[in-house]
Formats: sequence, structure tokens, C-alpha cells
Amino acid sequence: MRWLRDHTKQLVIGAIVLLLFIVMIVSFLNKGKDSAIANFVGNGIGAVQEPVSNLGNGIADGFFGFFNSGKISKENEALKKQISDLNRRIVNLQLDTAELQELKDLKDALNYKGITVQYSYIACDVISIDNSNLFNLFDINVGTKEGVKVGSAVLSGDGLIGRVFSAGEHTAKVMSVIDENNSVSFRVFRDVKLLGVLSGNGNGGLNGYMLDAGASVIEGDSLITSGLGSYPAGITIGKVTKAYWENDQLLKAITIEPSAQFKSLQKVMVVTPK
Amino acid sequence: MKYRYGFIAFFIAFILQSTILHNIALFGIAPNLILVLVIVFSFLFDELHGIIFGILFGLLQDVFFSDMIGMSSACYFLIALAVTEAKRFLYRDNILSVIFISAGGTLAFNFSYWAISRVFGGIHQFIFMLAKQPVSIVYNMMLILILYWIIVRKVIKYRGFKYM
Repeated sequence: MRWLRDHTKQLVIGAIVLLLFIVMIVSFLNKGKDSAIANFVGNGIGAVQEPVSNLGNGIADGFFGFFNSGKISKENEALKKQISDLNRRIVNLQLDTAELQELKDLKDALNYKGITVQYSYIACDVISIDNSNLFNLFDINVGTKEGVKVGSAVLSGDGLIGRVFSAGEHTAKVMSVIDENNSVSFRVFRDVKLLGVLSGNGNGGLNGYMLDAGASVIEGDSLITSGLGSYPAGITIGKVTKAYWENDQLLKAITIEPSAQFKSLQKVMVVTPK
Repeated sequence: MKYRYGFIAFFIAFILQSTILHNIALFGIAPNLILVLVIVFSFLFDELHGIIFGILFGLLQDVFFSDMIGMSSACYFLIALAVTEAKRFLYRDNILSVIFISAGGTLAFNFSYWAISRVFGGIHQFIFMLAKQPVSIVYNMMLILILYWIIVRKVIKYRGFKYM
């Protein structure tokens, strides 16, 4: 008893450390499952975070916009050109659509059963961002009630962001593709027959390899998701910054710079299979 | 300082941290307000604000952002404990002590957070974490020095007095 009295401080510290490590291990074993407490806390504080986040983003946009008016007007001109270019493309695509419809009719006539997954798109706001400076995790203001599921793909205007790793009723947590070693299947946009697999490299970027060791992938090639696995097809991932032969694994390896800006996200889109 | 004021300070820091501070990030690195408060409270006050609110808001941070609860909480707890112990060897009214504590605290927090995440399957490399330290240390140090300058006058009445 005397020993216990003399070492109370050390015992309390030891008990807290032990308790926290037990909590860590339990939550590690139950990854992706949202508890009722976490859900309750998330919804409560999320209600405070959302307006503060909107206010902060509004102030930041106004502040930086004031100093970047020259840059914005140049960007405006570039966007106008891009719109006229896109309008031309729409005309061409409409022609392609008519052709595609004919092919679909032919497919129906031949009674061909393909695998077509329908997706629903949910636009949402980023309400809070992780502050660890190590991960790129953030919360969004939609959850299971709005149709978000664990594993749903998340993208921004620039390209693929990551996936939902935990979903509450009205909020969900998103982990970026550069922060985990889950593999993403991709195609090279220049030649969609070239397939490969990539994952986070632990340095804030992506590394991958081609399924065909002789694939002619080059620096500057754009990569898109292939549709194999959990991510829908056609989402921009990034650009190849280095393509080299990996002697140890006898593979054509590549380094990729993601196209999305993970630290300045305000609005994203969740893609879930219907 | 009363615990309710401490709670309010930490709560405001948590909200600002998760919503606004990324707008002032430099090279993708934002200051860590919770860590700043944990260091300042543990260093300047004799009560257990730093330890208690470090654990509490660390858990809150994990609930919101981490796929594993307890990681930030354990790191804040260890830093608060280390700073509280360091108080025995450092003068609270010496600015060099504050600089040392803020640099050491930031480095120790980021390193322990990275180490725990690696143990549980994180993919980030040591060099990647290390490269972020200079900006992180400078950012946190600036905030700690500002807070220190505001609070120290109320905590230590006779600063620089040799015979305390």
C-alpha cells in the first residue's frame, strides 16, 4: 500500500498511456466503423464547423482575390477560350452520342448482357481539414442519409481525391489517395489499352507500375481511373513525372504527380454506385 | 486559470484549426493551435490544463480526422507531460526556455505522431515527415511566443527578479 501511495503519479500516467493504447488498438481493429458517440459528436460540432469554414473560405477568397485581380482576369480570358473550345467538342460529342445509340440498339438486338454500373453524384462542401500536416484527411457535410457509402470515390474539379473511409449520418471522413497504400487501377489517357496499378508512395505523391512490362508510357502522360476496382472509370488521377525500368521487380515503374490540390479543397463530389 | 476558460480556449482553437487555418498554410503546412495551447498551458500554469485538455481535444481531433482514435490524444498527453517535467529545469520567464520548449515540443509531437501512425500501417516516410519540420516549428514558435507574451505577465508577477 505504501508503495502505491509513493508511486501514485507514475501509476496514473501509466494507466492513461495504457488506456490510450487500448483505445488505439480497438479503433484500429474496427477501422471504418462509425460509433454512435463519434456520430453524435461529429454531427454536433459539424454544425459549428460548417458556417465557420464557409466564413473562413469566403474571407480567404476575398483577400487573395483582391491581390490577384490581374491573374484572375487572365484566367478569365483563358477560361473563355476554353469554353468556346469545349462548345466545339460538344457538337462532335453529340455526333458520337448518336453513333453510340445506334451501337446500343444493336447490342439490345443481339441480346448482349454487359456489366454497366450506374453512379449517383453528390456535390458537397469540405467542412473541416485535418491539422496533422502529415495526412490529407477532411470531413464533408454529407453522410449516409444523403446516400454516401464507405468506399465511395471522392473527386474535385481537378481530379481524383480519394475515398470515403467512414460515414456518419450527415458527415463523412475522406482519405486522400496519396495517404494510403490501397491500389488504384489506371489507364493511360493517350492509349487506353495501357493499364497499370498505383498507390501512395509515402512522400506526398504516387508510385505505380504498368501491367505490361513493355508498355510505352512516357513522361507527361495523363492517367485516368480504369473502372476496375472501387473507383469509377474516367477520373483524372495525374501526370507521369518519371517512367523507368525497375530492375528488381522487372516492371515498368512510374512516378505520378496528382492533379488534385489536396490542401485547398472547398467543394468536392462523392460518386456512389446506385 | 479556471478550467472552464481553458476549455473555451481549446474549443475555439479546435474550431479555428479545422476550418480556417489551412487558408494560411505555407508549403501545405499550417500551425497546430492545439499543440500550441498544450505547450503554453503546460509550461506556464501549475494546473493540469495542458494534460487534461490535450487528451480531451486530441480525442476529438481523432474522432474527426483519424481512422484511428487515440493517436493525437496520446501524443498531446506525452508532450504535456514532458513540458510539465521540463518546467523543473527551465526558467519560465526566460525567452530562450520558451524557444527551446516550442521547438522541442513541435518536433517531439510530429515525430511521435508519425511513429504511431507507422506502427499502425501508415505509409509516410521519415524524410517526408522531417522535411515538414522547419516550417512547422517556425509557425508554432511564432504563435507560442505571441501567446507567451500575452499570458506571462499575468502568471509571473516579478519577471527577471533574481531572488524568487
